[in-house]
Amino acid sequence: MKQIFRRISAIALLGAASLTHAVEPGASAPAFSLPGIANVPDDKAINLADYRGQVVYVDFWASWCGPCRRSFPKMQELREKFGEWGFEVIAINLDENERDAQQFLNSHPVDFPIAWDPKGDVALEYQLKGMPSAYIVDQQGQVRQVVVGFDDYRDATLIEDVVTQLIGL
Amino acid sequence: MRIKTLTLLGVLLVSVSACTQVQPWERNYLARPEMALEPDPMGALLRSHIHHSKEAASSVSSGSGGGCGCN
Repeated sequence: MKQIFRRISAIALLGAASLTHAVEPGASAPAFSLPGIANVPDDKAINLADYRGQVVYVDFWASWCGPCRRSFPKMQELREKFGEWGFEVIAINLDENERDAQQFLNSHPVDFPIAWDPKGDVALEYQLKGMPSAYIVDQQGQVRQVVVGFDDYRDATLIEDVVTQLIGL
Repeated sequence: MRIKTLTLLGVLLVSVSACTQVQPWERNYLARPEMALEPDPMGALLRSHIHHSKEAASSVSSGSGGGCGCN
């Protein structure tokens, strides 16, 4: 009886521990290593740690999400504009089916690396509040801005301002 | 012993709950247009406007208007 009680308490504690806090500005960006499904040489893994020293725009998206569709041209534009200044976009796809992601990418061609997180493990770690969600990570790996949803004017302006400031233009 | 049994029962009751929160990234099927409460928002607005005009009454879902259905 005592042993069962102990075991159940342990499970309950584990459950409580998994309720982590959402990633807010000022926190260090949780590290991840995910398979790359597009725009990476030989589909190798994408590690956030490899981008240390650059300003990284980590975007979570899915093919079924409407605002994600609108955010893609903007992310491509940002990359073209700031790429040479040490800026990169990593877009993490959350579709369960890789084919859905590839179909989306065929109709929305972009140059930045696309990672795949079909089980949502990294999304859970970041505690996304909505789709799409983006985290602007600075050269030291610290989250500086969180953008939930995507608005063509308001969010696009904010993102551009933050990125410009971080790369020191 | 009794307290322990009760606590155990409580923990078990909490853990057998079938409710779970659908995370934002798991809303694939829920995000489909046919899953919306109102699949045709424009049509619904129009229908609600006509309905309240005919009823000569307004509710929170309608705008201003006197019953002619023209404004």
